[in-house]
Parts: sequence; structure tokens; C-alpha cells
Amino acid sequence: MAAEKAEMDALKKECDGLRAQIEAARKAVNDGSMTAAASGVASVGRVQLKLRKTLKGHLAKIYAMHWSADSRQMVSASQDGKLLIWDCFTGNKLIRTPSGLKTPDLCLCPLPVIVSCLWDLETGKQKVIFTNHIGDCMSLALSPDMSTFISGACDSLAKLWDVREGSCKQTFSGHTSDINAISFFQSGNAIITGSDDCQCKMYDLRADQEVICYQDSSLNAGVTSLAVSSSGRLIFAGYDDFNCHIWDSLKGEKVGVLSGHDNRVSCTGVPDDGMGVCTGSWDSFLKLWN
Amino acid sequence: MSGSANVVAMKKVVQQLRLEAGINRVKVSQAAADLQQFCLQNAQQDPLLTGMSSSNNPFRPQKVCSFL
Repeated sequence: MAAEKAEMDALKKECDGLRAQIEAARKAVNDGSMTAAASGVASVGRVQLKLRKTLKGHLAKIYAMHWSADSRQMVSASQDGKLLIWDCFTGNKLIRTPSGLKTPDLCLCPLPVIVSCLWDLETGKQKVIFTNHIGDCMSLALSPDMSTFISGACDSLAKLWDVREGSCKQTFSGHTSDINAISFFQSGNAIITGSDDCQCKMYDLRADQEVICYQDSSLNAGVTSLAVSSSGRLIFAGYDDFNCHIWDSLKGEKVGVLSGHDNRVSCTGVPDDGMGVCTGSWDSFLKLWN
Repeated sequence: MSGSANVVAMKKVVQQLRLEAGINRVKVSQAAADLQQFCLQNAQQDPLLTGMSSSNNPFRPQKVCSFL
């Protein structure tokens, strides 16, 4: 129908106009670089963490892990179909349970487990479904104040959502491949993403744009996971090259590496007390470092 | 009709873009300064930056003491 085509064309034109408007608005506030601003900040030096424990028990690839709020217990999910709950102080397994969830990411919080919709764990019903991504949603993180969450997807975009309204508030582009990992900066004002394009990026939510890119020409492996130290200064990023590389979040420099896994690092997590970092791998082991 | 469904979908995209275009943005220099300040303020309380003694380390196996 000609009328419909005319309407579609008009709408497409409006979209293009709005996208250009957004880019212009972002440029208008882009008055300085993070790395330049951090030139006066003291370097963290070489960050050398030691392997303290290796947790053995899963029979297949580990896909996800999450720390409990007590910074002592931790849950891990594996392709072997099990969820294991660990006491990380002793290294003992507390609970073993079959997992009914086919999720590549799990998030434990006072709200129900977030998959790509909000589930009510008691009723087993979906409360809110967030639809906006074109590609599969690969990663999720809840904001420190729990009012928003961020998602990263195979469409290479990161999106900020309002939990209660179920609406998308902001969209961040820049990556050129799937975003596999996403995390909030502790202040709640920035997010960090890790992608198959081998880069990590920090986006500031208030400036509505990318402020720093963590990349190294010697790193040719995709980023699978990431976690941030409690001050926000260190980013622990798990890669397909079997390592977890450590980045200085302010200066954008690589400052260390956690080596020891025999297969790709699939998940990384820092507990709330910041006392260490846990890496999980396709080699079926979890390792604790500090 | 798939045609009008496309129009409906497109209108949603426009609506979403209008929403995202309308937000207030803070200058990157201000945002960077705030992020820096947060890191530096919390640096002393970040055990992975400051390090810890083995007696404080929750993941290190405790050495067993014995009376001689």
C-alpha cells in the first residue's frame, strides 16, 4: 500500500533524525577523556594475586557463578546440570541441586532470579518480560540500588532498564560483537561491558556514552566475564585465552593476570566484602584468588 | 496484515528513540572526575589493592597451632 510505505519512510526518516540527535548530544558533552584525566592518578603497579583454593566438584564446563551477600557462600552452575553451593572459607560443598534453568547467567539478589525476565520464585510465574534486544540477551546485572538493571546482547548493544516499569532507558553501542559480560561500577554511575570483539568498555550512564576502552593488541581472545574490585579500580576480565586479565579501570592499562585454568574462563566474581576474586572455567574448576 | 504490524513496530522504535534522545547528559570531564574520586576514596578499603595479612585472609587455610 502506498500510504503505508509513505508512513514507513517517514518513520524511518524520524528514526535516523533521532539517532543523529543522540550522537550530537553525546558529542556535545564529550569534553575530555578519562585516560587524560587519570594521568595525574598514581599507578596501581603490578597487581599480583595468588591462587588460594581450587574448588573441584563439577563434572563439566562451568557457566556461571555468583557470590552470596555473606561473601562466604557462592553458587556455581555447570553444564553437568547441577548448581553447587560452596563454603569458600573451607572449600566444602554445601548443597547440590539439579538446575532447571537453561540460563547462561544467573544473578542472586533479594528480587527473584533474573533471566531475561523477572521471575517470581514462589509462584514460578514471569512477572515482567523485558523485550527490546534484537539478539539473544547474554548478560545481566542489577544496579547497586536495585532500581535498574543492565543487559548485554548478541546485537552488540548494552541497555539500561527500569526494573519496575520494564522500560528501556538508555542504549549503549560501540562493541562490534556479542556482549558476553556486563557489570555496574559500584557508584552506580557507570557500567562495564566485555565482548567477543576482545574489548572491555566502560560507559558512563550520566554522560550517556563510552568513556574508556580496555584493549590490547596482544589480546585476541573474546571476553567472557568480568567483575570489579570493591573500589572500582580493578577490573577482572575472563577471556577465551584461559586467563583472567586485570585492568586499571581509570588508566585503561593491563596491570596483572590470573593464570591457571586449562580452558576458557567463563565466569568471574568479586564478593561484597571485596576480599578476593573467583574465576570459573570450562575446565570444570573454580579458583579463588587474592 | 504484516504491513501495518511493521508500522506499529517502527512507531515503537521511534518512541523509544525519542525517550533516549530526551535525557539530560553530564559532561564527560565531570563524569570522569566523579569516577576517579570514587575509586580513590575507596582505595584504602579495597583489599585487592591494599593486600591483606594471612591471618585476615578468609581463603587462606589457617595454620594449625600446637602447644609444645
